[in-house]
Amino acid sequence: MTLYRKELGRVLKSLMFLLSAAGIVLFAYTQGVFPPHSTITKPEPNAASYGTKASGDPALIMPEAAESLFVQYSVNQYTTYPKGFLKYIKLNQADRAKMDEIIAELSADALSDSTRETDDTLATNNGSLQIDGGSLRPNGDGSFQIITPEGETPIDFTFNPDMTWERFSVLMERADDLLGGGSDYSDTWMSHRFGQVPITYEEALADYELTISHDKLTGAHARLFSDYMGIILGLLPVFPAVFLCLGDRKNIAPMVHTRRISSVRFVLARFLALVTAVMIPVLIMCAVLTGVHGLDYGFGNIDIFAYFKYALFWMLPTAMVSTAVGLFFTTLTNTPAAVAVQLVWWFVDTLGGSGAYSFYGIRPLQLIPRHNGLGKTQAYLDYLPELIQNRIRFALIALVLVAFTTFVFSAKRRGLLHVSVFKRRKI
Amino acid sequence: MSESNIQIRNLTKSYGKKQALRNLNLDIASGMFGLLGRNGAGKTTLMKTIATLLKKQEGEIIVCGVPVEKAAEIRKIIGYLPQDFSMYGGMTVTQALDYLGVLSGMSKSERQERISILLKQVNLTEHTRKKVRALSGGMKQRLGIAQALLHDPKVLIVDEPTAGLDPEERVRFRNLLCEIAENKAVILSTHIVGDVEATCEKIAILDEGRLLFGGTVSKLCGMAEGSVYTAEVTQKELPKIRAAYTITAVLSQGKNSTVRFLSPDSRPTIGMPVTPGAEDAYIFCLSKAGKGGNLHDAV
Repeated sequence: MTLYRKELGRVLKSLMFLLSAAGIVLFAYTQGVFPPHSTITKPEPNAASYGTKASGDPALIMPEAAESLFVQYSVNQYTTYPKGFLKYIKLNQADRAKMDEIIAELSADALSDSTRETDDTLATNNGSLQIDGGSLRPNGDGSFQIITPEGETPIDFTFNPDMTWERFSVLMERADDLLGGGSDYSDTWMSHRFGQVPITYEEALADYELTISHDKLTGAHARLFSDYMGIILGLLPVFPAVFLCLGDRKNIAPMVHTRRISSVRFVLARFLALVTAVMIPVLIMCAVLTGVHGLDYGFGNIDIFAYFKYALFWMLPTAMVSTAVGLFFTTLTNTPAAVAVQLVWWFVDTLGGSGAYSFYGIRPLQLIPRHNGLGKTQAYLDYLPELIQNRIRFALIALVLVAFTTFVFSAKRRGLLHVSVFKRRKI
Repeated sequence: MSESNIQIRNLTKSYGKKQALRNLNLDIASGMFGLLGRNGAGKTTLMKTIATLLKKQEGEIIVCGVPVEKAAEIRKIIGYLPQDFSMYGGMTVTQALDYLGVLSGMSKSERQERISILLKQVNLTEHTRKKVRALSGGMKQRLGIAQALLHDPKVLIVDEPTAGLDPEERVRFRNLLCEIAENKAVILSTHIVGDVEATCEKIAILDEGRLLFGGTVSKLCGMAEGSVYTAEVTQKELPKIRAAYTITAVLSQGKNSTVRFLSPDSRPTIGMPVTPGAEDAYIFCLSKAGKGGNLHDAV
């Protein structure tokens, strides 16, 4: 406990921590969650829009999903998230032939040879043709047209009206298998990604009432806060961790290594101190936001612990992982390599489409869970079991990294592991 | 003769193909013990191995009855001051010692008591609130000694502690080590023979991982008896002397120089025999080893 306090003091006084804490608060400010820019209000009848939701209606899902698949098929570039990470798939000749069959069955008209030839041209011309507003033209009847390079025949796709949901599901499953899983056509995601319909007033009202009864208002705000804080906590905590461990370089390490303290206690104290430090600005913001909402809605109407519950349950595992990555790779390499590792992970996780999964579920290895909206309480309750699993998984990943760090630290202090890019060993 | 605090038997350690320690045998008792050798002789490897910072490959090291494999136990009884000691620059002298005291498992009252005693002993009482980064080289080394003694170890290992210190600080530091060595075993590794001569009764000389000599300074000097000469030569004659003998010291005086040189095998054509100093004897020892002499067997 004494060492934990000492390490916490060292972290809190470090410039890197102060910069990281400022970064965390600044990010919350720029994203409009500190102070909060929006409040939860009861929906009014006859509003222009109440948002959209997944309908689960096969009649809507099927043509949209088929069209989406056709667009990706046309350029032979598919976006998938196998194991939660973004991956672009390009099918080989054999698999393209199998996809040809799926597309042909989905289409009202069998694909002509000329279409296939055009597909080949598209695929081979530049290998990754981007479909944008200029090359994709809706026909206005549920079908659309791919505009091919100048002088060539546009490709038409019209969804087969006789397709049954059962058969469609089989074809989509086959397509997902061809793509290696994790595509929008998988059983998990298809009904969320396609067939969106407007939310009705009654539904918006029901969600509002759920937000009042279940979230007691602050729960909904805390979710949106967690959504943004997750993004920043998925990256910034690595910096104080790296900075603290790099402080042991040069001639300081033997001072620490020859002490009586066990490697487990030393690494654990550091880890806990770093995580505590990085959560301090978050917890302070949570306290301030609870006060702000208390004044807005009345303290009797809110859950005063909501922000803190979300901080510990939602945000903490993300901060733990970023910190553990910093500790592990810096202890192992004595370099700031952890920053690069965490940056890549963060980049893949955030820009790899974690935002696209807001409200529809949490991928098993999604470091930063998203819920980019105020309310949507039912959607949250629907994916809560996945979220719980995800958060426990990441807390465990962090602890495993801490265990690895302990092993590496212990080996290094006995001279059993010598990973140094800067210094030759002195004899 | 006091009982051995450290027993080293057949110690071998290598880094890949480079053998840093070769079948080393050594007994170190309480008091000051000097470890001499060229750069790369294996001194740091030996000290780090005793301090549990490196794992031995073969042989045995027992420190105050505890085999070195029991690292946690060894760390309780060993204090270590590495070469170029440093601490977190942003900490004050007291904070640095307090932090390391926590790592040594000391209670708050123990830390307070020991820190106060040690700061007085190393003469840093005036600088307790000074940041480590603001300390001079000498003050930093004294802080280094204080941290190594913090948990009151039975054995103190200091690796080239006087390198970079001015002469006054060097003398003060040597005196401090002697004071500490009254009730501990202090191993002083250095390539400055004067430091060892002034402080250590017993010494060991390492060369390429082998023990060249183990014994008292006077015994070392005795081995060079009759092999050290001095002569006054002109600057023109100096290159010839250099080519013919191993020179241990040259004192230039205008156009002439007084040289001390070794001639272990025969009486030289010039010069008079002189009583060897520790430095002469040390170089004699190394030059013998260079010529394939086996001093280890001789001692």
